Amino acid sequence: MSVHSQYNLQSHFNAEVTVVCGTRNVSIMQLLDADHIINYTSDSFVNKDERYDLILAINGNYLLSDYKKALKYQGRVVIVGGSLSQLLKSLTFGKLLFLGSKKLHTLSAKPSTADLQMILQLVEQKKVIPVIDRFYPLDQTAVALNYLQQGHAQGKVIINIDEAISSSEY
Amino acid sequence: MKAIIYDKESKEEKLILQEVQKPLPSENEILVKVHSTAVNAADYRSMKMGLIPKNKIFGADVAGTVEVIGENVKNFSVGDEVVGDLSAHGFGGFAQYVPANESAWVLKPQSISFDMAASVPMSSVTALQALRLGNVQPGQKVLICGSGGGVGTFAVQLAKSL
Repeated sequence: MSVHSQYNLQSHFNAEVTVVCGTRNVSIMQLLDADHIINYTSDSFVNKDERYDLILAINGNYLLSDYKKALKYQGRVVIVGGSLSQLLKSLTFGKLLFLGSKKLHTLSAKPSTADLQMILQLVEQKKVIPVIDRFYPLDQTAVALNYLQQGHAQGKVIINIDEAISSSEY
Repeated sequence: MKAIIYDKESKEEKLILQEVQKPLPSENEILVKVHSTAVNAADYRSMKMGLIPKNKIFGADVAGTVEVIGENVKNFSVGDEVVGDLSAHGFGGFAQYVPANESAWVLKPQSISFDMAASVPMSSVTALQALRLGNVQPGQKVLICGSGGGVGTFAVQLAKSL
């Protein structure tokens, strides 16, 4: 509880959002109303003069020093999940690299029914739209996981159990 | 019931559809008939690290209907439509039925489909907690690297939300 009680229950941030994505995700990001889109196939935030208050590092193979350079004074990088190697790097080098005013955090997310309820409300109000890439039946779960693991899923990959029962009756 | 069982001894495919006994809820659990479940990096990362659920069934994000309630369950009734993240409750979503402590579940709003509800828990809560950890204030500039996946698509929308 200690971790959560430090936070307020804020869910409305009203930030100016720049996204880094590949060509195939540009139209989704437009749909989701991203303010600025950097297509990594032809462009990079590393070469730009823009500075950010927060960088969420969810995927991508950028150097921690690239993130640091793109931060404003007192900005933060939050490493979200990511590969183990990215996490290890951020733990070993991150502390040294981010000794100044810019801070590096690694998120370890915890299930929270309070947060889940809040987001379900936003979905109900159509303020947040879940993006679903593909559906698989239950017997294709291994294929679904494999697809996700390749790292190109656009939003979520769903297993529909009811569909499995009709299509693979014993 | 049918379930995807993780068989670590198997040389080829380790995730196999099998017929297993339908579980019963313990006194603080509800048994949910699963309609939709999402796959998450947490599933394959746990497999790689050898963290296998007790019943060998992965799957964290679950949306379904309450089938049976344990005798001490207070907040749910048979027939309720629920959604939950079971990653802290032993997983088990890749199956026709899953029992989990009632504290794992919330009621699913009627207007949201089971598929849509199953897509929400793990990714969106991760995105929300990341933005909080980043202490984002209104009008601040946020850069999201890796925006196209589950966490990213929620993070973009939550970061902008008014």
